[in-house]
Amino acid sequence: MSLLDKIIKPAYAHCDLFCGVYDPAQARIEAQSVYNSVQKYLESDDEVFKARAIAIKEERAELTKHHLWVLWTDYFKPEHLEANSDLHNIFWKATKAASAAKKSMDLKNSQALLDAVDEVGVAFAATKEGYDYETVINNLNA
Amino acid sequence: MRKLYRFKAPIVLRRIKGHSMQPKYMPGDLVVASSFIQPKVGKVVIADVGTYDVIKRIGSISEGVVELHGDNSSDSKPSTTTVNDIRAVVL
Repeated sequence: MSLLDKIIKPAYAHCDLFCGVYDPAQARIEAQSVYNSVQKYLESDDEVFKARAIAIKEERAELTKHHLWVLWTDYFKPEHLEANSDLHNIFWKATKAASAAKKSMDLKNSQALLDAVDEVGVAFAATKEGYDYETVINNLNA
Repeated sequence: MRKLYRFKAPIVLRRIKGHSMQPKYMPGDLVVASSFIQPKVGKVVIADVGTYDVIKRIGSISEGVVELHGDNSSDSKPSTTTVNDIRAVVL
């Protein structure tokens, strides 16, 4: 950073929402809830609890899709696509993985969703200087 | 909480970050603004919206409330602030 850049403050020409609002952590948190709900379901013998786990899992899978769509449609711009030609495919896979996890109680599908959301997170991090997606994952695994 | 009085530097230099003022103002552009100029509809201004400054064009001013727009409509939604939050008008 040059001395001039240290002296001159930025003026933000914002995206749709104020800069910094978009964050794949939202999708990651919901995807983690999907995974955890399935895990709790598989560990339980309580039918009422299992029914609740299914309901929560489906709700969280839907929220995962929502947060992915917001990133896809509102945050990512044509120049991001130029830099990463696989971007549409990454989102396509992630939203399809959310649909698959929504209708399944198989942990493999929930793990596939986490992996797909992480691909989005890595793609997002590549567009934003200073953003560390690893921290998001580490915080959720802590 | 908004400040009732804000010291306004006569000349303000800012580096643009973001795309909402394209095509006239590109990311990385340096802009010079002055608080001596009266904010009017259609003028591009530097506004303090809290912890940072934004660069936007004034869409309307009514009873001290200013509506701010980006020039790049695909990358911006109108927002509002107060006249007091306008730091300076871009030259």
